[in-house]
Amino acid sequence: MNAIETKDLTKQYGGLTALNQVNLQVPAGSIYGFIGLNGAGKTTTMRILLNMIKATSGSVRLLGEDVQHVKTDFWNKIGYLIETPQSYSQLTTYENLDLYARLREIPSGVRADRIEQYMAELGLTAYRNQRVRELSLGNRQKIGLIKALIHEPELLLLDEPTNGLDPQGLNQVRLLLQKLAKKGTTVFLSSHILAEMEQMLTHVGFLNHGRLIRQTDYQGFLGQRQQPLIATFVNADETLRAQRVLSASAIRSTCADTTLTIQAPTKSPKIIQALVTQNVVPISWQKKQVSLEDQFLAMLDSEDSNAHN
Amino acid sequence: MRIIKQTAIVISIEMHKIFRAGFIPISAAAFLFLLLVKHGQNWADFTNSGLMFIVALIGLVGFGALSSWVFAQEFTAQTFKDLLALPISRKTIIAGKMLAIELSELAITVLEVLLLLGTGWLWLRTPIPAGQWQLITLVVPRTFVYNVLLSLVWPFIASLTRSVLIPTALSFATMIVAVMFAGQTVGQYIPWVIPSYNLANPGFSSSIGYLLIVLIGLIGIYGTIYVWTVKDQQ
Repeated sequence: MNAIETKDLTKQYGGLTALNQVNLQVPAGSIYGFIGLNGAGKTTTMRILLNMIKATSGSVRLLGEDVQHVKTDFWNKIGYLIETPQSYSQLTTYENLDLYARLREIPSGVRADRIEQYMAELGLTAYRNQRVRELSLGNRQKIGLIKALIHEPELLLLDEPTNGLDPQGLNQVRLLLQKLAKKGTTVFLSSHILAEMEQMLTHVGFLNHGRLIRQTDYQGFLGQRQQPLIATFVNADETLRAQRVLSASAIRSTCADTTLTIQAPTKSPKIIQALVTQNVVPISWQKKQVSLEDQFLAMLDSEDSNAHN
Repeated sequence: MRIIKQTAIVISIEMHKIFRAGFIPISAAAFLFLLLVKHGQNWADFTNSGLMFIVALIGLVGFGALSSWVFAQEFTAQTFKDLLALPISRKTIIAGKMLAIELSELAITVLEVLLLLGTGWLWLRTPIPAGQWQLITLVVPRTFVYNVLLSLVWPFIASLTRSVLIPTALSFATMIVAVMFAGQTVGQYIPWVIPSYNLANPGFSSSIGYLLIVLIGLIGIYGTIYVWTVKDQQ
């Protein structure tokens, strides 16, 4: 079953199309990375999913239910953090979390323990009685995250959840999200900082100018990544010569000082033969590690060049 | 039953926020300061000054600032989005917030009456004359109801403008209008003047004036619901 399913979701603001026929399919229990540049439409999608704004056309189903027609109780199955989380600045960390837990109708017997548990897990206990206005952006972000999961929802929608977090905070959040996913919570998170997401994703979707250009399971996506070869030569002249040789054999490459990045997945006989026959031999070979970010940028390049052609 | 429980939750949360923001002690301190500055030499002066502050200054500007803040802070603090996908409906949240405002206004009014009586007794060293006490009991409950109804329009304006400053400035303007027209006959037909007109003419009655006040209250309630449930979704 899909925890999130949208059909031809479109949102227009006047003449501007913010979302264009987005068909999301987020499997239950997955950690789905919703990736896009600033302004791609991630937050708009999140707001429509939560029924905060209405779509121009299309439909949204969360946990199998049409969000336009759910009872208010339904929202206790959903936790969310949209944009920069804010709290009441005159109240303390604990007071903010307590009042939000009360709005979620968490019984008083469980409330205090749960707040303390999450504060400990995210390293907020020391700031328990501090007013929110005195806290750092990272700690305020953690309060927002606890607010999103204090009622232990089945589906968690997180928009840029790691904004402002230091490496330790980032790790705490990552561990917490992985723990929740293991328990069966579906985590749908958006970000434009991709490095921090790579380690936890099970599925991924790419949004560009309001269009979902690709969505897949993350392992499959990793398998399909084109990892170019990097050949290192003794000097820059040799490198340039090698580039010319490969170019004559219609093999694309880019040159930087003594390294040549060859757009090919393996050290194919064609490449080796081309170089050896011309007596240009590299001193080392290695495969370039392609990050999610590289792949995303390559996809955007290819999208843009398709759009121009 | 559930909706009553949810409304009670919202009321207690809002009361907590109002209390922590210091509205009640600040308005009591302002009232006490003004009372001591303009106390007069007898109970009649004391009561007239105190009632004028309760009815016009605190009743219009103080209640205006309080009711605007309770709603506008969700926009200025950007916590509004946290209230939109909850198991408690937006209408229940609005009802809870408005009831919390009214309870706080009641607490402020009761506190001010007590301060008026206490300070008067300490200052004049005589018990309040029966006539003055009768004036207080005649004017305060009635004007309190008027001011509560009138203050319901500020949440609408605060939600519409997403600002606490605009409705508070407007409530200040209503106080100036109230002071200007309180002694004139036309005052009984201007909603924000009616409480002060009532103070100047205890026991007066104007069905058109009351109707206008109720209308302002209804505009406030339905306007706020409209902004929170319809306008913001576009």
